[in-house]
Amino acid sequence: MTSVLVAGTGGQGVITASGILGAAAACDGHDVKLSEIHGMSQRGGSVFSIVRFGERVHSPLPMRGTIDILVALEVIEAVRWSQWLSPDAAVLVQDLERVPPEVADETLLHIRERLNVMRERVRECVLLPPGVVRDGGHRSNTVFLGVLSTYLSISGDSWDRAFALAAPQGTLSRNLAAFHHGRQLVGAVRQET
Amino acid sequence: MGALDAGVGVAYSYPGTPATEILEALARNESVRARWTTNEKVALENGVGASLCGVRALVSMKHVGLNVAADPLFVLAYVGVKAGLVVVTADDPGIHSSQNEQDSRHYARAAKLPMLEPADSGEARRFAREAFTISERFGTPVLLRLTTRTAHSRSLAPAVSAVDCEVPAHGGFTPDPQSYVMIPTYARERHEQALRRIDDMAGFAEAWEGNELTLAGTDLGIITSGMAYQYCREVLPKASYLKLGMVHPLPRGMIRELAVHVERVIVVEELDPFLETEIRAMGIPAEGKSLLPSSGELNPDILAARLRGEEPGKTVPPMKVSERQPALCPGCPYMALVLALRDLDVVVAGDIGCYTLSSLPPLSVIDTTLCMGAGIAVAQGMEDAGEPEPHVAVIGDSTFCHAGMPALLNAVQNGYSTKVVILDNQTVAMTGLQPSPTSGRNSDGAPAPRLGIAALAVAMGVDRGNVVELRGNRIEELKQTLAEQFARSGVSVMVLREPCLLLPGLRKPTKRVTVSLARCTACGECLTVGCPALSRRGGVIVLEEALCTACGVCGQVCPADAIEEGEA
Repeated sequence: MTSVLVAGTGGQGVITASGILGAAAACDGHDVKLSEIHGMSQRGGSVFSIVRFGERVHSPLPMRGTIDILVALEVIEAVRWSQWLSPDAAVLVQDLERVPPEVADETLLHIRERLNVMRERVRECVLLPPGVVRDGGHRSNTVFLGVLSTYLSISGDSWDRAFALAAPQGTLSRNLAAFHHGRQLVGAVRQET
Repeated sequence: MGALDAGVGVAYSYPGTPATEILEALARNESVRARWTTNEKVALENGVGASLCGVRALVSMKHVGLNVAADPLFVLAYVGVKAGLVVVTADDPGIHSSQNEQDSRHYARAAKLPMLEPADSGEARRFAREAFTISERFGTPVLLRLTTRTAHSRSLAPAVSAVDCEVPAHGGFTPDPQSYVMIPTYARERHEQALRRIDDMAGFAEAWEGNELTLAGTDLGIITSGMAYQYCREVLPKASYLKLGMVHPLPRGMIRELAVHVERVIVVEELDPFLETEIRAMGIPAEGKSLLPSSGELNPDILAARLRGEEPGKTVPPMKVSERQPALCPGCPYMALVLALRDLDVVVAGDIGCYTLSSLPPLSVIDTTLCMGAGIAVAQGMEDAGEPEPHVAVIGDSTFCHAGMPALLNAVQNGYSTKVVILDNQTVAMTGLQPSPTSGRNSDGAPAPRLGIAALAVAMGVDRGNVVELRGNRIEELKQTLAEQFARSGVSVMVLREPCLLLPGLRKPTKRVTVSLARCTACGECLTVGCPALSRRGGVIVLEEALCTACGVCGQVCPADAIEEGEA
């Protein structure tokens, strides 16, 4: 069973991305459960969604320390989930900070320290600058789905069907372009890390 | 989906997380008349009307909405239904976005109604469809209970065969006053019938497929329902299970069968010991709340700790990351009014809506929030208690229409001096921009009359000079108008009419706001506005243009005149 956590802040498209991932896993023949909490996302809050897929999934929530892959569109949200990651986890993070107004400067330094601690603990961490991610005007959430896809064995055909099913109306070609951009990015980055 | 499978004809709801998406989904289907109503009581009563005339009805709401609909719900248990009527209630264990985490299962027992509880999306679809059949077979409304976790999770929900989806023809209204008119002589007999019916349903529950008994290991038997079942299966795969799809009435035979098979019975349920109490009353020494919490959500880690005696992985030290405090959107049209209230330093009886967030620091303006429409009435009680003037209440347009109107009428009738500030952003904003009676559009998307709140206040008897319409976002102007009204005697109604900036079709900002680093002293006064676009980084005030909507409110509070508005 694979557990993927997608995290970010309200408006970054976390829920949409996780829905597409869930659809791709379902198209690929897996049992899928997806859990999201979005009560306050519209007002600037944290948003996360957990997608679990495998032969049979009971709980949409995994136990701590078992998340296989964390996709985070923002750094503070990445660090928030560090305790939930498996030691074998891969972490894919957009190097973007959305700082809440109530957070003091010192906290930001701590966030960077904590990010480094998290990187030590997991198998692999890929940190992508927003400029690279959005190069070409792409939306970061879909680009990261592309990056994520290189870590999963879900077939390209399943991804295509998922986008056709779950991407918002009129966005299909844009989304596929962003997805492929993400897939290409990883080859280059993985050679560096 | 399940309701659609059942050929539901009408659906009624008032927005409320985590139930809002139910009506939104039904509204996308042309075969259903799906309507947002002014409140949940009206929604349920609409449903009753349809059901008694032979059309299947689905009514949905969040848990506190069920409190509002409780009056018709209890009497409906006596009246019964003709075509199936299903009432969906979505509880919120963990209080993700509500005022409480009440356990709505108690309504089933109190009202003598059956209640189904699905454990995932697939079951939600099946149970919703079956609920209509059960409703018609026994002539009773059926409650369907979700929680935030089941409502906001997704899983595979297989389609149903057409045979399972046949809708019986009911015909229209047939007079039956002994069933439909609850005067005492009729009601007494209907109560007896309701008691007999719930007994009959207990027999039905024994054979119903939604209740699943799996006898496996003899050490441990778990009785559970809903999402808790999924967590249990994750953590205790070898136990014997009674998974209840119907939490009221209970299948006592199945419960006894499990109890006899195992050495130890544990009841795993979120919130109250609803099942546990009834099971123990049967004489079965089941454990539950001696092991598990009565507040908050359950999850696999809690179950592993409490039921398997495991501590969560201590190898990874915790990293505390501050929670993102919810805030009003950048450019919210109420920001200036909230700041004006802050400057005036008054006690504010608040209500339910986006503005409730202004109870948090740095704004800290709202002093009480109880339930829909409460602020106006709470302020009246404060006045009677001798609290110094002014007695201010703040409420939004949709909440005012939901429950605030009787409170305003009470203020006028009983001679209070309540100062009512109504934030009319022409939508139900917090839940996702559903139409409200001031929108000018109804849930079909068709034009509807806009409620004139100011005119309504005058019609209720508020002095004309005490009714003002406020516009714009200039803090000083708003402060002046508010202060002037606060000094008057009698009820005042001040209506700020500015549309929610998230509504589609509104103009994009043509201005641009920047912070002049030359003039900025980094005093941080602008940060007290609580706008997500402003923060302090490296000792410097930073305005994130991607989030800024150029409303200019921060510029109004800057003592150094360092925030500039220019062309976009």
